[in-house]
Amino acid sequence: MIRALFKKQMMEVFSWIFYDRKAGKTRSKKGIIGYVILYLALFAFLGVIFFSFATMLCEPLAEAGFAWLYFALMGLLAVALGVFGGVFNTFASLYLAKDNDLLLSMPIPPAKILAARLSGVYAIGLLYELIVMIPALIVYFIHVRVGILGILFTLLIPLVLSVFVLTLSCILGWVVAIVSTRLKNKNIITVILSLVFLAGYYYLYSQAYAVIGKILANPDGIAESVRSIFYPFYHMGLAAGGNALSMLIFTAIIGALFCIVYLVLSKSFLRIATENRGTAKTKYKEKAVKSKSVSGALLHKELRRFLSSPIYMLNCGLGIILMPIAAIALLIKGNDLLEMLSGMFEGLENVIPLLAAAAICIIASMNDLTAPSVSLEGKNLWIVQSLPVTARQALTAKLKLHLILTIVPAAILTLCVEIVLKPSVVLGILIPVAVLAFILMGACLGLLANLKMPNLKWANETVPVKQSMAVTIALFGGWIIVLALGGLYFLCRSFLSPTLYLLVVSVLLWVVALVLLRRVMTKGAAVFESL
Amino acid sequence: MKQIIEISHLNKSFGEIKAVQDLSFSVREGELFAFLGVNGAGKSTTINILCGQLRKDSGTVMIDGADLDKNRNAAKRDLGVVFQNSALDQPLTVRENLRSRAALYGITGKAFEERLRELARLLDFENLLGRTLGKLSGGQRRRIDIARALLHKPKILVLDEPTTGLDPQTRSLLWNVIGDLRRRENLTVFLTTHYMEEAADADTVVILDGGKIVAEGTPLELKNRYSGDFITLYGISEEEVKTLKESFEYRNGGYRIAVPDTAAATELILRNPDVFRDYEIVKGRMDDVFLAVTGKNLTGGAEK
Repeated sequence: MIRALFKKQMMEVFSWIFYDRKAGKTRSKKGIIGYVILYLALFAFLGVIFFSFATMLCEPLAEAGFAWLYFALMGLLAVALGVFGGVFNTFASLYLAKDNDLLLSMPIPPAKILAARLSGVYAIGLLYELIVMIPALIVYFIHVRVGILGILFTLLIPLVLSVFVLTLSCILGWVVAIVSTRLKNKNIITVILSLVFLAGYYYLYSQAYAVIGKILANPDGIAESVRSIFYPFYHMGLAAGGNALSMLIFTAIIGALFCIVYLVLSKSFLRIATENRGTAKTKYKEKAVKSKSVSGALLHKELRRFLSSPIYMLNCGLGIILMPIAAIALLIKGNDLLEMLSGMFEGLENVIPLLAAAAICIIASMNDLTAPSVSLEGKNLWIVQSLPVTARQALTAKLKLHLILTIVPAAILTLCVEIVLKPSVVLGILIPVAVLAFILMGACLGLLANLKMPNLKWANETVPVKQSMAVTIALFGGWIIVLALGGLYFLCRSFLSPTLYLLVVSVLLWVVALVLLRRVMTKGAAVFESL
Repeated sequence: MKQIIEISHLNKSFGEIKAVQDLSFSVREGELFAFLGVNGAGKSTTINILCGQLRKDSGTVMIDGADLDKNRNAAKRDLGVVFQNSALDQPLTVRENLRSRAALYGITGKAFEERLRELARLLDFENLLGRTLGKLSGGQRRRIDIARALLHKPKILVLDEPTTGLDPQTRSLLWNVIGDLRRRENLTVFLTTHYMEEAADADTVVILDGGKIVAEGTPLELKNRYSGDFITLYGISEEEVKTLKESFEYRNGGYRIAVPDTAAATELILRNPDVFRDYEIVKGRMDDVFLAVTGKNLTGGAEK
């Protein structure tokens, strides 16, 4: 029975290879091979990054007699990556498994169900951990002379280390489960956490070389810290050198930690598995519905749709957050930036306001809310079509949401740009005029592209949000237009001053935006009605 | 007839909420047992305890003579459970799904193939064996769910709202299949449903409200006890109906009068033979019983 349970769990864990959840169908043989190759390539790419990281660390540390420190640091990195990959899998496997009820109704002891569930988490954790450990081991074998025991232990260490990954994943998965039941506005929290993670990732990536430098500059201090704070990893490092006692200590500590967590989990598994941790309870309060105008109600609907989907917010509304961040950064570091730009464009300082306007437009075009908005209606499009509202009203609501959520942060950024740059009065007026026209044009362009290429039959909303031509056109189209206008300036700069050029561009953008707006309200509305 | 499920003095609380209070009832072998109640009445708590997913606070649960506390696995072996939501794997074919579930009961190889053939014939899904679950319709998936629950030849089939979301034709088809199964395999069916017409076909009905049993009996007994009969008179004027001195309502081309039972209806007819020229007597429906007992309507999952 336990074999059947493990087999079932492994099938569940690796079903993404064989089954396309977005399309809701099994992949073809070619599809499976392609998918596996794609993932292997991705792992290889990450592996190369960790390989170069390991190479930088290993040789100097090994020469300084700190080979164990190299192994311990790479182990810590592997654990971090393993936990990152495993924690959400633990949460889903333990707390959100759809067949917990079914398995518990069968004559299977809960402890066995738990063991099978954890085996899946272990496998995923190991997979992530090996992305670091395989290159780390290769580099280790290249630079460090290892005996037979050392080879044996270094091959066993990833397997034991993955038990530690599993232990941490279980604890963090439990925390995620608790937090997720108590949170309101989960979608917005998801967006914020994703952005924090991205920011953290880029920060760490940018600091990686500095960190390596610090480690290599002070290996004694780092070694002492690792020995006192990450004691098991100190022994792991020694075990890699063939120290049998350290291997025993390392395995015993990891094993003991896992046993404690397993005992706690197995005691509470029945309650955990049957408790609905995915949703917070809300008390229904009867209240009168506030009446709204038709346009207000449609706009509210669009806003709710936007806020209900982290994928939509993250992919189509990044500018909402980036523009205020850029504005604050500009207020703090504006003078330094201005100095740098003046240095770069010596003699061409009057171009800087044009560059600023282009930068605002580029960030603003990261908002492409209208581009998937028609497709996102999906199978519910008939609801809007059956309501006593015209297609123009429905499309206007989509445009309005895009404009409100883009113009407000763009206005903040523009204001900060003008505070820092202190442009002439004419330029000070022309910059927001051009930005406003660009935003309106982008909104219309996205909407028209989506009306031209709608996808109402998606099974997963990532399809219209991330894989649609309309979004690609809206996002890259905006950037291409900005780059083209930038290129055009350098062709015209001999006979057009920056102010005059911005005036011409503003007029041009307004003409195009108004033509597109008219197109949305006429041809677009007709298309929307016929969908 | 032998009692196959015996629940006595069952209690379960969640904090201060008493989900089930001193619940006692029994289910006879081979019968169709309907367990009714609005959301929050205690149905799911009772089923979860019965299926071993939830620990009770006190009371005893016996399944085919086995005490759930002392012999949990033996008790569970007698149960086949069909949950509201399918717990099968979308990427796998019907055969693969059933094979992986059968293996958990130790049914493999030839024994599995034989049982699969038997169930596929019985539930009419022989042509679906190679198809992935994601490609099946709601009704087809439900049949596979039932097959999954019957793989190990349980004595009791627990159906938790099995027909919710299915169209009337598929619902009727499913009930024919379940009726067939009961006859062929002498299966006891423990049913929770929001469709009162399904409960009307049960041998025994138990209605829960606030964690307690508020009514229990056969559908006929409950109808007699809680809803009474209705006489509808046709081809008659309102003035003539008024001479009966009974309250009435005009409905679907006739005048409907509520009477306590069939005896009272007969007495009324015999007293006024001239008025009762064209009429029909019907029993109250299970909806009326439910409304009378709980003061609530069952509306497909929500209380109104």
